[in-house]
Amino acid sequence: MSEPLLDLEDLRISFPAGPERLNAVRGLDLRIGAGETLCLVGESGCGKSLTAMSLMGLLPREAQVGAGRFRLLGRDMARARPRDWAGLRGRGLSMIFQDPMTSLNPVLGVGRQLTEGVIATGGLSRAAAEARAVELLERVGIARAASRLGQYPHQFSGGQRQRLMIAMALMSRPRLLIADEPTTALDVTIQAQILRLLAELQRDLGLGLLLITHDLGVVAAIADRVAVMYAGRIVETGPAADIFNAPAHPYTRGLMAAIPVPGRTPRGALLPAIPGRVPGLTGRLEGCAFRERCSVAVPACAVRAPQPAGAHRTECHLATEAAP
Amino acid sequence: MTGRDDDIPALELVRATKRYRVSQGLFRPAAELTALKELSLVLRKGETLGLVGESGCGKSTAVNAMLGLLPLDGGSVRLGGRDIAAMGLAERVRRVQVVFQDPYSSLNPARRVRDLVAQPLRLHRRGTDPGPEVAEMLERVGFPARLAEAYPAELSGGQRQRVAIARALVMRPEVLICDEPTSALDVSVQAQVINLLLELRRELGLSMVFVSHNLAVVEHLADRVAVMYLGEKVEEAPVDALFRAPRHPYSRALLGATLPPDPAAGLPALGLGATAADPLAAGPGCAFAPRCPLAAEACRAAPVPLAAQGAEHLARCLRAEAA
Repeated sequence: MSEPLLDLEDLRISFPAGPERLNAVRGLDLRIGAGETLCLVGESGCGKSLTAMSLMGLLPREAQVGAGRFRLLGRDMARARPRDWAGLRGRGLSMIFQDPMTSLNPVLGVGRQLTEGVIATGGLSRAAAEARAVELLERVGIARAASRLGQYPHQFSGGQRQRLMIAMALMSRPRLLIADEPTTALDVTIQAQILRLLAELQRDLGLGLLLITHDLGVVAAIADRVAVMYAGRIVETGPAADIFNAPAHPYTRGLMAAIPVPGRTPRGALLPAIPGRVPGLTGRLEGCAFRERCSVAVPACAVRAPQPAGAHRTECHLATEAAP
Repeated sequence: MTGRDDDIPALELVRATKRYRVSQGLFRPAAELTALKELSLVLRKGETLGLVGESGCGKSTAVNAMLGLLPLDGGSVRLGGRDIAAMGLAERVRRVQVVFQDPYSSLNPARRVRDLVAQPLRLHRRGTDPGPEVAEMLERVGFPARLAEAYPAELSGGQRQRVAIARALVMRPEVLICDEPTSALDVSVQAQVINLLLELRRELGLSMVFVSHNLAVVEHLADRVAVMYLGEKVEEAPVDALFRAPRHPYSRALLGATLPPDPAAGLPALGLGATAADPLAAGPGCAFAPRCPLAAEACRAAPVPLAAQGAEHLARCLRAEAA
């Protein structure tokens, strides 16, 4: 088997917080193969966006990053310097951000924004770069693409701007695409189209796709594998069908139960909400971070559970009994 | 209360119309955008009306009209049978209150929680001590008493939304309008806030308008649902009928685009095309026709009226039978 696009072990990200440190990501393992869609799910503050930023080498300067293993596109990035990152970004590695309105430059024509990266890094001529831009814009469903290269971001609708972002991310022919909440700011009918487009491109181009979201509906629609994050750790990971049909971690089960599903949840009934809130991440956090909110916690949860081997892994003392 | 009184809707929009002038740039004349197009809605006492649609459909304009914050270009808003435009501010805010989407921007960051919730009482019942009522309301919404002296910045999103709900309900309004109250919240917190609204509705007998683009949440809370597209009501039905047998192609697309947490469901094919709704490009006919997979010549030629589709079920579509 060829090397995965991303092979990450024991990723840790922390920030200075007064006399202590805020441990935002606390030992995270992640692997993505070519042609695979991995969805990283979790609620705000769980560290999913920081993880994405660390994969692009875009963390703020005060962040301290460490990893047991950090291999990205066949290179060792564990001790990478800014120059090493510049060698990957736009050269095999691309990212789509959540909000296309703030990620596009409002005073530059979209043609210039699409092409300047590959002209600078890929050695393409302007004409060749524009030809590729037109081809990609048509691929993402923007009609009369050639005549729209001179237009500005405000002349496109929200859904079209997100398509621009996708086309821009694909300009450098990446092998690994990171998408951080790419449809959260969009209407649901547009969201469905964008997800369909991402799935098609992913299949046709054999991309590895890391999609970060908090929306379990999006995950169900597009993921091959799912990783559920809580308080800086992946608490459960496995094939999408397993995670949805047999969620093993109490947090995953709580998330699934907390969303109303038409036709399944009794209308007007109280939802089984997860009580409490996420723990603070400053200083050391012993044992399972979810145990304060967990309805089945036992004294053993004060010590972190070992992660078993296998495709579907759960970091919970009780999970093995609940879902063998 | 007599039976007759019960027949008067808690809140009513009667052919409400609002137009805005939109600049088209320096050298072109301003265009006119119709944000609300003769929108009629009835909220009966004690019921919850869901209002759904995507950005730009006029949901927020409708909310502002219901709060009396918007001078209309036509039609009227009636609260308990009386025109809201003829009401004083004090009476209006006593009868109808609102919870907005973003608890980060709807609470004054320089005020403590206790003062935020007491503010309406202080303005409307001068001379009495608001303390006990504030404490009671905070307890009712499940807000921890020890945080009553905190500032909004010190609270989580869910706690802030509880404060916003307590502030809206402290005057005991008859009508509560919820404008995407859970959209900015995480899944686990969203469930807590939905549960709170369900409990408060039952305990206080509230009439509620629940505005959202999240159909699953609307289905869970609403008795009846109105679907809006570009300022118009395109369908209205009891929640059962709408989710079981939607008649308007746009309602069907909205339902189809709602992704269930089920990997077997796959990605929906909506057949709507890549163009979003454009309020300025409206022709004489059905506003949805440019995106509609069923659109025929007649749809584009003339305005389509709302037609009965069954008990209390209305749809604005000539081809409601075609699907």
